[in-house]
Amino acid sequence: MYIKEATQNILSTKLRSFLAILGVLVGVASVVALVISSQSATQHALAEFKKLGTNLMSVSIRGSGKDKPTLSLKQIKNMKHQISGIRDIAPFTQSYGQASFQGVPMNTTTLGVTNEFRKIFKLKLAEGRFVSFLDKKQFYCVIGSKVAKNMRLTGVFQPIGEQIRVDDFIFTVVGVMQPYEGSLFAPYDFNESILVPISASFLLSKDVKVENFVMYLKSEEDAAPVEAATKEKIREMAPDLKPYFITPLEIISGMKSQRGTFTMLLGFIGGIALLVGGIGVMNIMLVSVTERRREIGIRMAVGAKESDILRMFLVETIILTGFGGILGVVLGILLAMAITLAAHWGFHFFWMPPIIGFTVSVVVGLFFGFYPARKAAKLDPIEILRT
Amino acid sequence: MTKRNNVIEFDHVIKKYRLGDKSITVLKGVSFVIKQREMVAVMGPSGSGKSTIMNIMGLLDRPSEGQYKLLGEDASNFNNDQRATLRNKKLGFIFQSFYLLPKLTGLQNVGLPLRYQHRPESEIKKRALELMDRVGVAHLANNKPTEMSGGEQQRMAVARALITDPDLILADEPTGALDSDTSARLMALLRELHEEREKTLVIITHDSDVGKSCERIIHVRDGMLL
Ligand SMILES: Nc1ncnc2c1ncn2[C@@H]1O[C@H](COP(=O)(O)OP(=O)(O)OP(=O)(O)O)[C@@H](O)[C@H]1O
Ligand SMILES: [Mg+2]
Repeated sequence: MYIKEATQNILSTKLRSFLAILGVLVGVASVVALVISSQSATQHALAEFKKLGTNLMSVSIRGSGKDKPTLSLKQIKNMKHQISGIRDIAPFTQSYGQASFQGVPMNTTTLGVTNEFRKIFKLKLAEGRFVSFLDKKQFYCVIGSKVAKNMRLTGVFQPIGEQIRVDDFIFTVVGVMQPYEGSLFAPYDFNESILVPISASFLLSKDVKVENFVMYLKSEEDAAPVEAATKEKIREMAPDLKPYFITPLEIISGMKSQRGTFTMLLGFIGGIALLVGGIGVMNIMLVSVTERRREIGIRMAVGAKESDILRMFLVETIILTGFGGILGVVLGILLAMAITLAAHWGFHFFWMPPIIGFTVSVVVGLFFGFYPARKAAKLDPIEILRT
Repeated sequence: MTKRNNVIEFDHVIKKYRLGDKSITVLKGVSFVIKQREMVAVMGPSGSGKSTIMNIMGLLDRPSEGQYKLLGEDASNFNNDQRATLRNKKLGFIFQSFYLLPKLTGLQNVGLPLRYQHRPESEIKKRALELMDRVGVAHLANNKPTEMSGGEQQRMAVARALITDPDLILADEPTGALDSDTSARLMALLRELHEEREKTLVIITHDSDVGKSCERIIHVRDGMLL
């Protein structure tokens, strides 16, 4: 009875009812959309890390000071045999030299890499061959898919065999990589990179040094002992170097705690939106109570108790905000779909945000509906009916 | 003849209103008794206190002093919920301006008092249709009050007043908004219902024709009975 009548009443003032729930709708929609999107983003990031495996460890050995201490390629490579738990080790360099093709500068990064680097980051070739250890000191390079695409745009149908200039050196393209879907653990966007043999990269400039290496561990559990052993080994070889270690698991747990904070922040923003929405609903219900004084008086005259009137208005408010909540949840999910689609995160559905969004909207109705409903219930029928 | 119980007893009822800092006395010690199955008119000039009497009888208002007994019980003992329940079960109201709910259909309006008894929908509908048929407005069951004439609306209100089978029907100027023909037909209906269902009926009126069709008249003037 209450629900049917409440719905009738709400529908009889459609525009006003819609305005009343707008705040709740927007609040719920934004929270649902943002929480689902952020969780989808995290989910996506986790999946990205897991693609390469979680038994990776990235080590930064950027030295500071005048003489910039560093480790030699050999010293790094030897650690694979000196420290158990390391399956593969991939030192790499980055050159800041400007690359150009046919005289046109290219927006690329030149990385000096080894065969292990390719294995660890699972780089795949679309055509040609990879820069291998055998190409040592030879000026060959493998280019990322976007680099190849840009070269093709200039009318070069087959990039293989073409020459790219990096500073004063000419590299011949021997391979083109497949588009790299990317991993957040990858240090660069390989699609926009030029990969050259690491030993050749040292010739580009005296500033090119091994500042990073990535280790592929035998298992995740080796992370702590390997980190300790590596730190010790580096201290032996170059006491001034301060290595910095990071593993995918550390980033994942960091992201998880960040997600928690972010979700709380969103919840807080949503809470404020709902508070504002709730006050809006309360105002509209107060207007409604004033307008319906006569109806209230008549209902009381034919036997409605205070509790009947209270319930009537409460049910109406809750239906109103609950409906706003449902619309908000639907809109929020649609928005989340749009956001995750646009950001290529992949849509992951989570039950919690919609359930909480809807529940909170009902609670808002209950909370902000109570005052107007009580005001209606406390009206004196004789005051109303005399006029 | 079986003994008739007192339905209404007013014992030196005084009603005062505070207007700003001065107090006005609207009822100045009114005493009377209305027995079961009586049909009584309350008459008097405008402002004499008729509606005030009816509101007290109908448990919508309270005396300032004196005692009001409904069905033998002191009304000052009732709390708000009990008053609402008594209005619902023992009393039926008919007002000058009908007081139907504009958003509800005739059927819903007539059934309203039973809804506050939480009766099943089917029973409410059946009872409402029966009564609407009895007062001659069954064909308007699905119409809104704005789609009815004054006489039809007042018949709906009569059906609503009767639906809980109350002991006492209180009508405040029931014919006040009707033309004389319609008014006469409504009074005929009320008389019929009074005789047929043996309800106690109190009618407040200005209209001496209405007064004459009752069994007894209580005259009020300036807050006192004549
Ligand atoms: N809440 C109130 N405050 C002040 N005065 C009031 C109040 N209610 C009623 N009165 C006064 O009490 C007097 C009696 O009012 P009441 O409505 O009972 O008269 P009535 O006999 O029904 O008149 P009518 O025939 O015009 O309906 C009037 O003078 C009215 O102004
Ligand atoms: Mg009056």
